Amino acid sequence: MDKSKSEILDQISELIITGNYKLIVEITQKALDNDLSSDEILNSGLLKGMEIVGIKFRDGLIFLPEVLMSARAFKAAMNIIEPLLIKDTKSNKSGIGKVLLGTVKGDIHDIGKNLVGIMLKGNGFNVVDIGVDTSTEKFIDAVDKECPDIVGLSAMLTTTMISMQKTVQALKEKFQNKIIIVGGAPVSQSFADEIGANGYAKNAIEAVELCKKLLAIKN
Amino acid sequence: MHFLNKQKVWVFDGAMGTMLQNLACGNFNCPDELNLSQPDVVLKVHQEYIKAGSDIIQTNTFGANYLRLKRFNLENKTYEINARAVEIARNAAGGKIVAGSIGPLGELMEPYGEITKEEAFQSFVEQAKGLSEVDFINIETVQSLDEAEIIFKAVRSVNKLPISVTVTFQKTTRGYFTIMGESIIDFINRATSWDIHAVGTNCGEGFKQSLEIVCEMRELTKLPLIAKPNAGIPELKDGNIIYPETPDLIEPLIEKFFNNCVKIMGGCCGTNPEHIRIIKKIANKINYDG
Repeated sequence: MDKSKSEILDQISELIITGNYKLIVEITQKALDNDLSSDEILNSGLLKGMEIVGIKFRDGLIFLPEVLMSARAFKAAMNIIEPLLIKDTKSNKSGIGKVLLGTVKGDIHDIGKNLVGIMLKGNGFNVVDIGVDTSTEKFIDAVDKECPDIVGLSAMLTTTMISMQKTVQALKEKFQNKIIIVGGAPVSQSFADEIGANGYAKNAIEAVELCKKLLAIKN
Repeated sequence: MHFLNKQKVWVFDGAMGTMLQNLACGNFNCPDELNLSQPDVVLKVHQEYIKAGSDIIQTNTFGANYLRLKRFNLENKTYEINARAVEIARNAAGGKIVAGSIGPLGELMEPYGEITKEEAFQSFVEQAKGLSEVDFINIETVQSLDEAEIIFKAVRSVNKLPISVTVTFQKTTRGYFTIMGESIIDFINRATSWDIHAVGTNCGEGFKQSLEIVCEMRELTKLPLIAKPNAGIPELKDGNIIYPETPDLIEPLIEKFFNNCVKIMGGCCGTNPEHIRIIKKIANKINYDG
């Protein structure tokens, strides 16, 4: 790749990291005008930037506001390249995996779940969000219909941890090999292990890493 | 909060939400609504804390702001739910102090979310109106200083009640921060520009971290300190959810809180009257023997 092309991709990564959701629109267009493919822009620009965002968040160098601005910049760039990605056969596999998200029965909290959705999308996952106060039946129907690679359950309250346990057990019985991950303020790794979930993530960034890891193991 | 000078240390109450989960009839999604439908249950929680030794109890209004109640189609009852909560708490308190609890919106404000600052302000104004008969307002589980400032201004626009602010911090490799990335120093600097009467920390990840946080605060401010830690991160044992930090485990730490200038000590999620009994025992030693 010539120097000017790689410079544009580096600039796109940088605009993701700084969350510059206005300038990234212009530069993404410039990248396309310079014959960079949508695939290159996604993988060597946008996703590369989001990966660094994840590392900075993990290390406590940036926090939620910065991450959200990066996600916004990602979305702005995706609006431009998404229609092209679908045409591009090379990357036409609807993201790197499909994740179905929901908050469990009896719980209407959704900030955490929504953040996980934003970050997964911002890292190339296809996300289906089935909302809050979701019954076990609704989870089962949605998994049947959507066939996700991973199901993510969220709970914010101590009581709804029991709902989470019930839903996880029912999903495990119905779909033996489905990967299930859990999260939420009262949830911990030991709780996740106890109820038979395949994984737990402490925050939205860790959820992305977890999904990548679990899919890598599966594939 | 002139009353604070009357005693060396004060005992706050423990958790409301996790207690209601054990006592209320049937499943409920909105704990604040119980002030209307099951006031006797809310009263019982308050009474248990008074019996255990709380000098201050807090209204069952953590989520009773207009926008949060709207999620349950209860927004038109914002005033009623708050006003009723104060009545119930007064009933249980006798002559004890009643604090009005105000928690966060539960949604992100602009530019990160959909809620405008004006909508947030109005949401808390509605709540503050209903809480006007308390002794002081406790803005708690703060995770965004911008939001705390809006709550502070909303309360101030309604009345001149004393106000305390307690923040929830997360431990990172670089120290304690809110989820929005604000440090303990940021909080104290910002809070001292408001006219508030006490600062502190609540919820979080148990008593040990809470102690670390108040120790840092003590170096930064002379304002009275409040600590209301939760009882750790819950675990599943034999099909039941239990909080790991039991009353006997926290006992050795309580004295350290008071020795580090904590003026008001209570508990958050997972604490119960037994935790308060332990805190009271140690507070009594300090107030009467020490």
